[in-house]
Amino acid sequence: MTDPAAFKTLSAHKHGAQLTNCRFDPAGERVYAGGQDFAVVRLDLATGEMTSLVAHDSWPWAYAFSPFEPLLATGGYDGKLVWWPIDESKPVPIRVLEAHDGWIRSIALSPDATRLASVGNDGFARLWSVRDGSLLREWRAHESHVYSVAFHPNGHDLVTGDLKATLRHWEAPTGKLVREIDAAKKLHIYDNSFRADYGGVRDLAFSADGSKLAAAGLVENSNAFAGVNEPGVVVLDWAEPGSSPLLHRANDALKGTAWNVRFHPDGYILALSGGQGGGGVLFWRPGEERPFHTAKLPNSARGMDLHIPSNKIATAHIDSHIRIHEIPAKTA
Amino acid sequence: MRRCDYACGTREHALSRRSFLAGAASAAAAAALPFGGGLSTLAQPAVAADLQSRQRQFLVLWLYGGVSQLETWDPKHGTDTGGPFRSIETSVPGIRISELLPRTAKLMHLMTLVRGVNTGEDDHGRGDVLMQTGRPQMPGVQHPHLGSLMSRFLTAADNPLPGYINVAPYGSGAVNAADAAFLGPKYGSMTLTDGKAPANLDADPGLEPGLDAAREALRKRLNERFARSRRSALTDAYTATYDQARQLMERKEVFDLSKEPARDVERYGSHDLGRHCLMARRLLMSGVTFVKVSHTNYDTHNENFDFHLEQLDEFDRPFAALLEDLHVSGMLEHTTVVVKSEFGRTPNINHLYGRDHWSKAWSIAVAGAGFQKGTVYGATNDRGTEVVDGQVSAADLFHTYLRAAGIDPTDDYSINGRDVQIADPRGKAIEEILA
Repeated sequence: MTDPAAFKTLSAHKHGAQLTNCRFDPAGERVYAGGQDFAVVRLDLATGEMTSLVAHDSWPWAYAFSPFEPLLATGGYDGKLVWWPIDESKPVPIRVLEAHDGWIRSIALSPDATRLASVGNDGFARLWSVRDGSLLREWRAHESHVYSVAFHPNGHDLVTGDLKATLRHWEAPTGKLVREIDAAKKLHIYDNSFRADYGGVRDLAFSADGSKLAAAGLVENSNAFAGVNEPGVVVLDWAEPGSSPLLHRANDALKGTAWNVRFHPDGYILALSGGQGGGGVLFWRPGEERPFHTAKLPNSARGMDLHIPSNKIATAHIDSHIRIHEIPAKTA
Repeated sequence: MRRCDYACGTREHALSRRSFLAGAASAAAAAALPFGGGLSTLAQPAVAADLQSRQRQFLVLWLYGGVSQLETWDPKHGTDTGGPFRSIETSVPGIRISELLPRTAKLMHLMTLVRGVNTGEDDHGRGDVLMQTGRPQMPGVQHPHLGSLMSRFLTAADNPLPGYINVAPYGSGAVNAADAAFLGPKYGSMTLTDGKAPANLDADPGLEPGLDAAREALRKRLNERFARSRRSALTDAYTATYDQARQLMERKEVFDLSKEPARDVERYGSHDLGRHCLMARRLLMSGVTFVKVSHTNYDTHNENFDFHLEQLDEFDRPFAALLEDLHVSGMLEHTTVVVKSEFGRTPNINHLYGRDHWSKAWSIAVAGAGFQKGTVYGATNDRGTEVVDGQVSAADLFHTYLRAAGIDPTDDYSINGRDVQIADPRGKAIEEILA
């Protein structure tokens, strides 16, 4: 069992530009992060070496690794899907697709690693063949920007979330809409003063057994254009999402957005919140609204990933650092 | 008896000879307009010719909150300040603007960008005053808004419509006399809240027309008798307001957007700004001198890029439609267009993916009568952190707007015997962009 209260930062590695999102490779040996200089930054955890992978013409944002071969797909705000061979010392793209009209917000690999789903500002969901990059299927998924996508562990079901915190459940093989889920609507607000929609489903995660779906974003907004809001994670029962969805919130005065959410095999949920004074990683037990622990970060982070086998967390920060943290095992 | 000392042919509020002649030369009686609406009416030669002989008109798109110059007119793609959006080519080779304005980009040949704006005021309220009046906010002193000035100098005396109309998402719907400062409430802005017609344009249905006319005649007779001995600025303001209200009631169709063709509603968009820009077109076609359309909001300290995506998508379509319509109809030959805000936004991207207030190096866009076409004046450095060429102030811009509209900004008002220059004497017009 791990002990989030013993959360500790192991190292910090500086890039030359502010960072956005990040992801561990399957082995947990490297972290890939998006830079505002348009580079995909690869950090080798053993050596600390950082390599910039350059192919995007805007901010890289989304990542998907194949568990079966050394392949990384990145999606960027340039609408491009780029496929990288990550076992090379200086990877050069093996494929670049003009995948979306506008930002790609999220990508997800099917559990069998044969299909890649991408979603973005054009409102479309697209399924691509991992083998040859061909477009398998596309459909208009939402009327507003699509922020997130996730495959159910069964590989058959797909869920997308948009700016208005509408979740839609699709049959991945056909693109057929199974149901629309409104249980995460707390994550959206229309700000009447500024006349703009705000919030949305910033990240989606299924529990390992597929019984729960977590949607991350923000709640309790009082000023959209100043970012006065709290991070929030809604956890739904996948079989009956309308039955008592639980909103996990932060303690006290933590202001920010929950950018990423993960389920930990030890039974708790964790999410990253940016915010004034650095924000932090929040840990909740199932069924509890407030976190049992908040690990404060020294600088505001905008992206987080969890590598379960090593219990390491990577965060990507506005001060251009990738930070590596650990959730140590409980001591007797 | 206290002498009326503000008008009535007295010296104190008289225009100088030059300004009067400039205004009178461009003024024309407001002709009856085809209130059926739609641009097709302008295709009729007689109508188009009539419009071309008209007074000068002015349109301002006010992007409230401080639109980012980096996400609009002066992108810095590929730099640490540039953000994620790319730049795109426009209809003028070599001029690139943000990819968030694809429709406007196709009309760059009608526009001029002013990229070297340095106004030195990062406060919303004070920035608003500075950009509306061309002068910094000073305690105890108020200067007229641009719209009030235009209303004063350009509106024909017999134009029954208000000279300055503000089409805004919110507001009281009343006349804002404060905009006109010492010019008098007649030149204040009238707000069309949410672009809707002023309230109470319909006569009380219980009032018989004959009775209404008799009542009006009695009111006028009594007012005239009162005014013979006790006329003042206040009674004149009341009378003018009452008369204008009556004239508006007689012309209520001017404000009826339902008369616009469905294809134009679709072209402009059914969202708020789409409707408001279509209303602006209607008002300009009807002969309103100065129309300001306000779009909220651009004060994006948080998630600047997401919000500019949303807001500029709302802006690009109706603005491009309106500019194109003014051009195609020939109205752009006598209508000056300005797109502006209180200030711009910081090149630095903060921890909330936001940009903060920034008045040191930002941009505005202009088009239409009095301006060169398809050009850029001024430049910032490669990161947008300072102006490196063609720096202009708010006062300079104000001088330029007035000159574009045919008004001499160095002319004087006479206020209680004191000469006050129309525009801040510390500024001067940007000759390079004037036609």
